[in-house]
Amino acid sequence: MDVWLAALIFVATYVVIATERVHKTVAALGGGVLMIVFQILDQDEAFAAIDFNVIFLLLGMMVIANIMRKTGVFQWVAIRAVQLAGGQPWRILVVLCLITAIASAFLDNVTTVVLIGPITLYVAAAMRVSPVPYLIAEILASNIGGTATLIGDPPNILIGSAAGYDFGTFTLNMAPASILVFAGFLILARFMFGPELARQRDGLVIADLDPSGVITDFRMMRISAVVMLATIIGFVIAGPLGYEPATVALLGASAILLLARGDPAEILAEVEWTTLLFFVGLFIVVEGVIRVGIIEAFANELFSATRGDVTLTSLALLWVSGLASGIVDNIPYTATLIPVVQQLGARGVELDPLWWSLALGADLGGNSTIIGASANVIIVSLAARSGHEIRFGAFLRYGIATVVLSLAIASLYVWVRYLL
Amino acid sequence: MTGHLRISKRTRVGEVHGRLDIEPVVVGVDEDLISAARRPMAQPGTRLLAVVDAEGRLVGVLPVLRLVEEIVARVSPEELMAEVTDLESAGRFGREVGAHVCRDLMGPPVHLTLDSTVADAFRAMHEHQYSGLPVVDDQMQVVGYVDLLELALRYLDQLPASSAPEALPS
Repeated sequence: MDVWLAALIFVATYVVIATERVHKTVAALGGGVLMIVFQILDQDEAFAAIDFNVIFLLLGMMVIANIMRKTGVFQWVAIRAVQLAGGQPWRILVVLCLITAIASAFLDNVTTVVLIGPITLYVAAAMRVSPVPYLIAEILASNIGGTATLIGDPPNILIGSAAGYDFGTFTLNMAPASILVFAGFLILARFMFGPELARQRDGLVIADLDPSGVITDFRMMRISAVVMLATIIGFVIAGPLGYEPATVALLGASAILLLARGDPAEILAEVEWTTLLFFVGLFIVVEGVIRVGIIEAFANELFSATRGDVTLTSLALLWVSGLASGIVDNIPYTATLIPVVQQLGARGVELDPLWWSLALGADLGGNSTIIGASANVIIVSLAARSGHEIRFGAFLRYGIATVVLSLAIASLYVWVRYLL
Repeated sequence: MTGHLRISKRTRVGEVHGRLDIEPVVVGVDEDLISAARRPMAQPGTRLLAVVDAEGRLVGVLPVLRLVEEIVARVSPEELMAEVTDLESAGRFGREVGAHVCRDLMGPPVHLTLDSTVADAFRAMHEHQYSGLPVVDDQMQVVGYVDLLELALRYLDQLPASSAPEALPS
């Protein structure tokens, strides 16, 4: 009975999240609470299932980024980069994609959009062209760049925490794949966007833009840049020293709160609490289906189907995750697949290739549709707010092409590095 | 200018607008924003432009302040870019730098008719947060302009001094 009830709650929660009939945070929390109400988990078990390393890592980074983005430092970087690119549309697109990819590796999506959105819209307006090709390219670059680090994409935080990978290990394994996919994407982008950009006139002059004009607080800009840099260095050295990434993020957040001298209530009010509580609900829902044995049964079936072959399992995981992430939210998808991978590991399948395949598939697959990842939704929303529509179908052809190429490159990378 | 007309809240706008000093400023829907921005220079009192189509029908309104922001965005976009801290402000910035003609910036054609009352005018301006509104005839042609401050002062001027505070519209 518990098995069917847990399965029902799990499926109902995911259906509600997918259909967006109610806010996904409400759906996840509701599903989590039902797991407790129907005694599939008791409250202690439910709360113990919450991975606080994930929650506090996200919280810490949100605080740092929220303070930093108000200083104008991100816009300063973007203006300087576009000025260095000169007035050629293709070079501008490459620079914008590069900044987006790098920012996505370290910052949350809203901050990345605040960084890259204004300069993109300004450049397009100055050229009197639609910003849509640039914004679509930035979505694709964002999801590719986010693949590179432990903090680049929520699935990575989930996988890193579950697998026990520190920031350095994660980056050493994922960043090369991300760079290769980005290089492939730029070649593809030349074909996808090149003809349209070729029709745009060269010689855009934005030299008149004064980058220092966007800095609102020089003192906080210097402080937040130092704190962000120190936090990233902290992530790298924390693993060998035995600290979790969440400790580093909270240390950075505490330092910047102390130095900002602002009202902590005001700063903390801007934290995306809905995202954090979404994770809380998901952890409980997934724990419910683990507890009744559904995940174990699924892993058994998967193990039988692949006969425990690590190559077959890894590549299947990468492609299935890649295709699924375009349709379903990659956060609940990853939260569900993590215990499946752990079960496969318990049966003797080598874990490392499975973790990297899951991460690459879940991250890169988000590019296929405009609802595939939160970066997509946010940039599409920015386009709409500025009076430009990015249609589902129009995005799809760019998205599918990018995902197929990305997954092919990622498959080759996983095969050569971990499976040969 | 009001002559002997006594303004009450039930007075028709058609009786009042011709007695007010501030004239309407009309711009074309596809008129370049720089060109449109020059028009209120000749009518400094106007704080809301009436946007009309090729047939002269009102199709939108454009606050002068928004026009000023757009012009500033062309001269010194850094000032507006510095204010972008979230998705909403990024979208607003995009709209402002991407606007080229009045159609890109105008709001819905909020208006008063000749049969609207002074009370209607106060209510509409309060509701839409505009400091003035165009007056149109049955064909939506702009025939006048009512400025909130000018109308309110005229209204108060004719009241006995002791009753002025109570006469302020809520």
